[in-house]
Parts: sequence; C-alpha cells; structure tokens
Amino acid sequence: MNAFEIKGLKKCYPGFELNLDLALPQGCILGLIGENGAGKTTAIKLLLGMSRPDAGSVEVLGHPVDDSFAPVREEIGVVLDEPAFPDCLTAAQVGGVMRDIFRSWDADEYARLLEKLALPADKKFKDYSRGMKMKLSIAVALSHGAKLLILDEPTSGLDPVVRDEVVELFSEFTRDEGRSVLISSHIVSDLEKLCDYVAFLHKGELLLCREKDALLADYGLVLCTKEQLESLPVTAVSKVSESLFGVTALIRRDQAPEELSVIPVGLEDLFVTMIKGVEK
Amino acid sequence: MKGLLKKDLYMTWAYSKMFIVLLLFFFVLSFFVKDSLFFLAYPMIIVSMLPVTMQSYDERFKWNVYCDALPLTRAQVVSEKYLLSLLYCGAVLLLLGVVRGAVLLIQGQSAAFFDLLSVLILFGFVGPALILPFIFAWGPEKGRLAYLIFIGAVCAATVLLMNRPLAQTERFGSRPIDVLLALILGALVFAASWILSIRLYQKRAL
Repeated sequence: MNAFEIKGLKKCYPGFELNLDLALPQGCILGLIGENGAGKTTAIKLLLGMSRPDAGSVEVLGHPVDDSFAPVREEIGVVLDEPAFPDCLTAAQVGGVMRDIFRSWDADEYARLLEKLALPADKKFKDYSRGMKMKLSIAVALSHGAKLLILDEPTSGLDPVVRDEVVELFSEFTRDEGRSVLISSHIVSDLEKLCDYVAFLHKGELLLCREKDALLADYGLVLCTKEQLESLPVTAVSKVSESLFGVTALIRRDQAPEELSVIPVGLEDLFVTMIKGVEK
Repeated sequence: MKGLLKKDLYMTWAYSKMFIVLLLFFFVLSFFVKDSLFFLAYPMIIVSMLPVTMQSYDERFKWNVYCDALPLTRAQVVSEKYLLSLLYCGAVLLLLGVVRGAVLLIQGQSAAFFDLLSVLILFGFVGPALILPFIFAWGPEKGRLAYLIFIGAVCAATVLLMNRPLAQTERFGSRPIDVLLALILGALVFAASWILSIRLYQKRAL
C-alpha cells in the first residue's frame, strides 16, 4: 500500500503550472527536492487538502483527498515552512490546545520531546528562536501517533547541530515500518542522510523519482575537457555543464566506457547538474 | 473545536486584558451617570468585536493556514468564532443585563431595563454577525474596509428610503415584546451570518 498516491494532478496559478504523478510506498521516506518556486509547497498543500487540484486525483493513507478528508489529518503529522502558533502561547499551552484537537494526542510523548529538544514548556512562542519554533512544530507533529509525516522545509533556517537532531528524530519516526515521511527541502544534504526515495521537482514538473541508492549508483560525474567529452558515447552523457576549469558531465554509469574514471555523485551535484546542465 | 476555543481564550487573556478593565470601568460608571445606556452598550460593542480581533491575530500568525493542516474543517473554524462571540456576549449580557438590570428594576425603571436588554441583545448578535462574513471572505484588512463601506451604504440607504430622522426609531426597545423581538431578530441575523461565513470561508484560498 502507498502512503499517498498522486495521479495526473494539475494545478494552475497565474504564471505557474504544477503537473505531478507521485507515490510514496508505506514505510519509506521520500525527499522532494526543488529550487524555490518549483512547486514543493503547492504539492504539499494539495496532498493535505489545503488546496484543490484543477485536475487529477490525490489519495492519502487510502482516503481520497476531498471534502470529507479533515478527519484523516488525525493520522498526518504536519510541519509547514513557517511555524504558525500564536505568539502569546507557551509550549505547555500549545500542548493543551492540541490535546483537544487531536483525539490521539499523547501528552507524555509531547513532554518527552520538549525535554529532548530542550524546549522550555513555560516560555512564550514569541521568545523562542527560529530553531526552537521549528522544533516545537516538529514536537507537535510527532505527538499524536501519526502514520505519515508531511514536512515542508523543516530544516530551513536551522543551524547544523539542530538540523542533525531533527533529522535523527525523523529517522527514529520511521523505525516503525508502517510510518512514512514526505520531506521537502532545498538543503539536499539533509535529504541525502534520510531518504529512501528522492523526487526532483523543477518549474512545476517532476524531473525524476527514484530510489536514492539506485539513483546515486546509476549516475556519476566525469571532469574532462571539451575534446574528451566529444569522445564519450552520446547515450552515456546525461547533462553537461561548463566552467573555467573544463567540463563536468553527468554520466550514466551503465553506458560509460569501462576505462572512464567516474566520480561518485552526491544528490546535490546530481540535482544541480540536472537543472543547470545542458544536453550534450 | 474545544482546542480552538481554548486557544482563543488564552489569546484573549494575553492580548485583550484592557477590554475587561474597560468593561468593568464602564459598568461601574453606569451607576453614576443619569442616562447610562451608552455606558452599558459600549462594552457590548467592544466585546462583540473580540472574535474579529482573534481572527485577525490568527491570520497574522498564519494559524488559519495551519488549521487547514489539522483535523479540523473550515466549518468548525468558523463555528468556533461564532461560539466565542456567543460566549463573550453572553457573559457581558449576564453582567450588564442581569446585574445592572436588577438595579434598574428595583429602582422601578422597567422601561430602561427593557431598553438595556434590547440594545445589548441587538449589539451582541448583530455586530459580529455583520462583520464576520466580510472577515472570513476577504481577511481582516479587506474585510474591515468592506464592512465599513457596507454599513455606510446601509445607513445612507435607510435615511434616504425612510425619509425621516433616525431618532424616530428610538422608541423601539422599551417594552418586553421588544426584547423578544430583538432576541428573535438577532438570532436570525446571527444564524444567517454563521451559514454565510462558512460558505464564504470554504471558498477562500489561503
């Protein structure tokens, strides 16, 4: 079963169009990578029923996202790109409010997370740092027994230490096999640590969606001169970018000559080369 | 919805303590002023606008967007603000209408008592009922502006159509039947506004 399934989805805004087919197998973590304005937040809003598609269908945890979708959100933990609690509320009061919103609210788990994330329960939200505000959102999302976490840029604006803590929390969440995570970010290094699958979104179009390890195994980088590039088989070269120091070619390993020295590629380089590179 | 109510009560306490002080000030003042209707109606106007203030804060903090990601329907979000309105206005009605009204009755001023009740009920119901649909349709800033334009247009139309001074309508309110009429009229307007706000908010893109 898929945690969610998006089929033939289309959403149009003035100057922007999102077209998407995407699915997340249950128990997996999918990283949605895209530059600002690529359509990540729009996709997340459509998944949560916060916005209606112009065409196509969306199903989450086996339920169609329609007018009767609100109760299904009981099983979805959400972190939006901007923490949105009232400034005057303390973390303890946020817990009290959420207890009456989520039927399955786990006050002990919330208290445990506040302690683990070093969030003072009696301090007002307005007095929290940006990192603390995001951590509070994450604590709420993890405290009601969600089966699916949907996270929109949860690590943006956080320092590396906090990002590491947060990534660890998400990994911990998926130790239970029935739980899945969709995480959007442009901080690709976080996704590289965490994800089973990655999807590249660019200008509203899905460039690819693959298992991360297979993707990284399939591609590699070759640093060479223009002349050397010409000697490579056309089918092996996916994208090319030029710099002062020569040419960087994104290579499909299975079609590259054996004697060619191919450097392993990271997600970030893969994404950037796919977006900025040109066809050979 | 209980969670939303709790959040708004926390927020009212944090941001609107001055309203409560003001309310008590006007209440005490009404005992020392001869024509006290204004001093009793004014707190009701202030309190009836509190749900609008809370909705403005919600939009400022983007809580309204976050609500769309929680297991809540937009109908519940709207209904909570109307319930909050009833709670606040009910509390003021209890304090001003009953306590102050009892004093008026003891003093034998029954007409003033009915006047007071009619005015409090109308302000309590009709104030939020008129402004909330605008707020839910367009947000606090545009909503307030649209509300002011609407009220201005209604007043102008009333003056033009009735072709007589507004003061002539002031006789309404001093009989027990007027209280009942105010209650029925207020409840009808309030209910219609509630349904309209749900429909408008469901259509709004956040």
